[in-house]
Amino acid sequence: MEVEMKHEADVETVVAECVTYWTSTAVPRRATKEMQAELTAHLHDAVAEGKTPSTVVGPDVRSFAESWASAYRDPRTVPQEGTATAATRLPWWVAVGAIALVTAGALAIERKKDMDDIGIQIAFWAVTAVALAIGEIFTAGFFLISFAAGAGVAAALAASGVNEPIQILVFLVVSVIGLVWTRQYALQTRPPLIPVGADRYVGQEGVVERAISRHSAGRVRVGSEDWRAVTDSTETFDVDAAVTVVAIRGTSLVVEGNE
Amino acid sequence: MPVEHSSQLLKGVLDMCLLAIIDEEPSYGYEMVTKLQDRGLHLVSEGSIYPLLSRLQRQGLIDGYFVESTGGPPRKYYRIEHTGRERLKEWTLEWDDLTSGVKEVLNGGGDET
Repeated sequence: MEVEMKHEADVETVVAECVTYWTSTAVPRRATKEMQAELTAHLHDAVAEGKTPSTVVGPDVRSFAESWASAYRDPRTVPQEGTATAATRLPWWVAVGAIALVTAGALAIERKKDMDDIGIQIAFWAVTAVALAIGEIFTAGFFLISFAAGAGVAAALAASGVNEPIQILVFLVVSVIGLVWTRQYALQTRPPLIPVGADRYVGQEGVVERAISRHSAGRVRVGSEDWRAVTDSTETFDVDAAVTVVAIRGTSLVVEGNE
Repeated sequence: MPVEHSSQLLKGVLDMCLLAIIDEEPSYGYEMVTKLQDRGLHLVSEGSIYPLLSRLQRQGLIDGYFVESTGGPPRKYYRIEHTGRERLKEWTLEWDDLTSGVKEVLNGGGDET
């Protein structure tokens, strides 16, 4: 019974260590919570059957935590730079098209002298603003919202009696400023490009500590840390060879020779 | 080191095995480990199933959900999704091809009767 008690205490330590690691390596909070619950349940089951926590997590808790966390950074499933910013890189002609359409509408109203009524101008800009704002909800990337703001400002100008060409000009200026500003905002809120967790090793150089070939894993020292390493290259890397980390696979670095 | 080698082999096909176990009936991590052991498959560390389960879930092949358990923390169960079942079929075929090829190689190929 005493042994079991000790293992219960170990369970808490192991779980805490993993949670700390996940939190510090930018694993999403919800994922961390779920992993914590799942790991806790498993460890309790294992300990209840007289096993030690290390039969679950292996000898190195950190590398266990990392291998699980890496499932949440899998490039195939985690949106990375390319996909996340696709929505923010709309083709330029979409912007030009939207501006042209709204301007044409405003000019059409101005041409018809009998419709030169403040009420119609306000209605035009207000409807445009609302339509664009609704469109924004259904599209990605803070795009239409700048035009909605432009139209909104133009509606306010129309209401205060400013003439039509000025309304159009202000609509254009506000839209373009808004567009530029939201583009910058979109760039800033991109997922961090600074590699976290094990990904920070990708691109770094290391020195072979134990020979690596396609058929057998070895070890590589990167900075002050010693990692298990494999290679997909046909070369064999002997001790002291310089290699570059090209990817992370499980808890192993994937290395290639320095070109 | 026969144990070490067989567990290295198991590592490569573990995701497939987990998918097959979940295909039988919804299951949670510890139960999956037990089921593997019952069939003579021993893992170096039991926790190595979790990164794989997370990947399978993120790929939409399985779905995870928490169930309250009696006198313990809630357990995360996994059930198979339609795409998971399809993938399992593909993997099973690939595995059959691979094992028959490996068998031929191990038998030396020459003296077939």
